[in-house]
Amino acid sequence: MTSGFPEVWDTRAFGRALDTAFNGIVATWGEPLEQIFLPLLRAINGLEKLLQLSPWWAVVTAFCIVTWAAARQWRPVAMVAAMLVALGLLGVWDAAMASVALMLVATLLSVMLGIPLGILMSRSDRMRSGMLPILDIMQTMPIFVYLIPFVMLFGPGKIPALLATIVFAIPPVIRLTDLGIRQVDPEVVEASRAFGASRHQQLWTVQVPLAMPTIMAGINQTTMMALSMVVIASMIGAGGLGYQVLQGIQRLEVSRGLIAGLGIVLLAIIFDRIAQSYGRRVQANLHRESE
Amino acid sequence: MRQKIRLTALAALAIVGMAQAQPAAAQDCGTAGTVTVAEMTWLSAATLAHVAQKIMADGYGCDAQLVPGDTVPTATSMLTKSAPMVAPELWISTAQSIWDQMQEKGNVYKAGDIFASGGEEGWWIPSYVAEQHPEIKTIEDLKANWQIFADAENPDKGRLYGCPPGWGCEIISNNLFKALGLGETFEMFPTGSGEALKATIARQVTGQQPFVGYYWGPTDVIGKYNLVRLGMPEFDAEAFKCLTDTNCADPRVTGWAVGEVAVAVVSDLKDQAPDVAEFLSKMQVPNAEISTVLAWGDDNSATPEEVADHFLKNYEAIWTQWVPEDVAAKVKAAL
Repeated sequence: MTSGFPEVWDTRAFGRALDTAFNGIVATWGEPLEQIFLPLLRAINGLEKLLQLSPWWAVVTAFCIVTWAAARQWRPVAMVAAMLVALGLLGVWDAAMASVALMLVATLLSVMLGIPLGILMSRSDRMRSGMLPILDIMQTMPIFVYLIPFVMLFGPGKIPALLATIVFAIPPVIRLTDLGIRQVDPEVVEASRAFGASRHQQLWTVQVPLAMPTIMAGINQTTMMALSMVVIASMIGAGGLGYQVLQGIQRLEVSRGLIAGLGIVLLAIIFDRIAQSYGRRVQANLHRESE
Repeated sequence: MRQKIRLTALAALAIVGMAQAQPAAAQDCGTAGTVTVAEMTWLSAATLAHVAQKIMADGYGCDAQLVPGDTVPTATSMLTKSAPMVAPELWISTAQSIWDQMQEKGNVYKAGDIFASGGEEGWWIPSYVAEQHPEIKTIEDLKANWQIFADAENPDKGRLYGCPPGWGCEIISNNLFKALGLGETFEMFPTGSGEALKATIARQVTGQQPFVGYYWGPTDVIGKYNLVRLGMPEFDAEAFKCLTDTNCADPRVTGWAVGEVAVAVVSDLKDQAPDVAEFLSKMQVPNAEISTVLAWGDDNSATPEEVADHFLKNYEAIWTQWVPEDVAAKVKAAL
């Protein structure tokens, strides 16, 4: 090249070796990996079918019950119900339910993996310094760089979409769990230790409850990021609302793209309301208890 | 400071060099101005752009430059600004309305078809599937032989990998699916994007798994993974027109229209550089060979320029027919 940077090593040979190795992995592990993830795929498909085949009012009722359980207030419940009806009115119900199924499973797995990782990070500085760069990579690496290899490994469809969504959406919940626990007042922790709490008890009865509002904020962000992956996920055949957005853009049908895009926004508001009102209630409870 | 002087000296040298090259160049090329060639984003078009650029620059001595582009933006720019001057691989159906306007305006013409058999679209299977299952020859044979293409996710149906969302082929594929009554034994699996479709083919072929799905050629994918196009009935213009319509009431089975892929050239070039225009009108590559060349490029992760060099070095029989002998000799000398 013109810059004259010395060619210390042969990048092309390295790239070729990497590609060959990856192709080898695909050839030997592609089939088994697909088999391993088959139960998970069945679970997503089952949830999708359940949401799509149930009568719409049953789904709306279920969402309302969840919202009530989280918020214990009527306003968010009414809001969520109205948003869901709006989704139906936009004519994107089935696609929206497909997106919800994928997003719910992705968020659930992210939280199940992310909170323990966040707790581990908060307890060990070495773990934290090891995890931070990995989280940075996960958040900044362009999605397509790992999306297409995922397709080669797992076959197109929901599994690579799910994994890519988790990679993209899990960092906030890990970071904020770690941050939340680290921010708990050391004197409170000290006091609990003075009362003879074991490390285990300190964590589960003092640190995690006090960090809950921050952790909830992390879960909320993870949910939103999982939802924002809907369009990208449909580029590898995950279906749902994102697929309609893609069709809309490619065919220059502004209306189709706009309607499906609005559907995604509505879903985002629904999940945001549920998570936020839950977070607010947890925080209010904490205040009441501390007074 | 020293560096600055050196740079100036270099620049001066470059100018002298250019000045010396210029008069000799103008004789053959016909124009002293820059001839711009559109280099599209995908490998075949980029390679052909490099081939055209090299022949113009080395063979005719033109000041040929590549400009990056993509079908619709390049076509629009050619229509409105007559630049770039040459687009070696323009899929007319992709930019149909712009193409019609160009013909009306008369500032861009089709010098020739770049692919000898045109653009081939359709449903393809890997050659090993074709060998193991000789009973599958045409798209009509799919329905009865669905078991071969069944997928673990849904073992009750065969899986047909469809066309990416929003592409013209999506509507055609869906209608053809309906016309063949494939819904009984097959599911149309959405692939999401061209990249995902390519990755799927790569995956299935690497694991020697069955595959049937949409693709188009000539492309590196066809050459690299040895895909065989399933036979289709004769092309019937009327039936095909209905297939391209989302609301086609009664789709009938017909062959896919041959894609018109043009070497598109700005009319001014014909007046300014008749010899070059003559070459462009002869520029044509056989589909199978170009797929093989592209597959070589993909295997070696070569840049389009390297693929173009590979083509010029190894496929002389094809490109020497496009140009007079003395031009061919100059191109060979420059390789």
